[in-house]
Amino acid sequence: MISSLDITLGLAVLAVTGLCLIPRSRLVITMGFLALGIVVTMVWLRLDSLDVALAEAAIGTGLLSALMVWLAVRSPEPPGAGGMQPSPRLPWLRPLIGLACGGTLAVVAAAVWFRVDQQLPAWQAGVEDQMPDTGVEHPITGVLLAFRAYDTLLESAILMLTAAAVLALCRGGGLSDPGTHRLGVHQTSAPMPPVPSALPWAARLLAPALMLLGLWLLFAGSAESGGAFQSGAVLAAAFILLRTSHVSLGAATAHWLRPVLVGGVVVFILAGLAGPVLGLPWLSWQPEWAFAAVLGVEVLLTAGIAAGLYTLFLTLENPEGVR
Amino acid sequence: MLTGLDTITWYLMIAAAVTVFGMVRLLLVRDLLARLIALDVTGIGVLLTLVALAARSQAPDAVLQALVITGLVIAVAFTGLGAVLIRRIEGARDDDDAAVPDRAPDEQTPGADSEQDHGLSPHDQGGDPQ
Repeated sequence: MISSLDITLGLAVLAVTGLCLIPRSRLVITMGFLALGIVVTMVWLRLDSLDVALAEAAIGTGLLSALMVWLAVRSPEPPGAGGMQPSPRLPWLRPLIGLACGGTLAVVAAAVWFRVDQQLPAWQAGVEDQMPDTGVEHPITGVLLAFRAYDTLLESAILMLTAAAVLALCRGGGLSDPGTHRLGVHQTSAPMPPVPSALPWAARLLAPALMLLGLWLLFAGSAESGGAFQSGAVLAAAFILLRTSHVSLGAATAHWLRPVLVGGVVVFILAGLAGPVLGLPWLSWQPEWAFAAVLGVEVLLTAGIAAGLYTLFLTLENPEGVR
Repeated sequence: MLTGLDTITWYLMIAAAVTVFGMVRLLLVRDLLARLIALDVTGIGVLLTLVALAARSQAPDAVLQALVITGLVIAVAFTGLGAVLIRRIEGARDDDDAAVPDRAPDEQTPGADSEQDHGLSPHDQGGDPQ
């Protein structure tokens, strides 16, 4: 039976989706996206998915919206027209085709998903049998780092590769200053726009609490809800707040960003190679030292994820000479 | 009418609507930021499906939830790259607009060309600032 709370939440999701898709103004759709993240987080909580809700709140809503708001504030007007131009001869044709295609797609998707709804997945018994061997108590962390270790490796590599791609989009001396081993990206120390004086004060006050929250999410991840991605997002948010409120992080960033970025992935691969050396399959860990391996990999992955997300924010500012 | 539904089916319906709405908007809109947001909304619809399916059993399905967390991270990665690319693309356009009036003062000013679909249509033949 469905409760009125679920109906309200569902309708709110639909309304906010409309708010972030229909308007032309970039600021409005960005704010709509922020609101959608918050409403969807409540839906995840309603559906008993605390881990997903934490990840959505930290990564999806928090960091993505920070990037989007920065983008919308920096260039509020889209260059050129925002929407489609009506076709000259048959102005009703394009909306009609769009509506027909959208309706058909919706019916097909809903039909497929309702059919899936009737069957429970076959993997559940197997997962419950194998879970004690993973070395962690929380099922989601276990799935991510033991059953789907290969996926998780590629996933953290994706964040590293994204960071490398956006770093390569910076002009100037490329990735390194000439003749040094420092990161030659001027955004690491470029001045930020002025902010009200309350923000630096609040950011300095909040930074230790955010660090503590991030580390707690990381270490709680083995037994309760939490994990590397949520923790990395909270840490990256702390860095972004500090950077926005004019705390100088430039020197530390220039030295440490790249080693931290690749460190997690490299150690993950090395830990995976320990399996074949000891006569086990690739990326498999023996139960005796699985916990230590998983925890060590998680700590470095968290640092790498935080560095990757912070890099995304840094490079959002255009290089020197470009507005 | 709605009391006949159960919670999972309700959220599956919402998810189908959100996914398709995002996909259709992604295909129809021209503003780059709106496209990026439409792509993310499509992703949220798909994730909503997975979470709704995971919530069917008594203890929520860890495999599907882990898949959703992976999906969120991938979404952040492509959105971040897309946002940086949009900034670079539009930053270059700002350069073009700033450089064009010096070279071709008889052309219309950049602020008045909102009738044209892009800032780059006739200006690029005028002169490349690089």
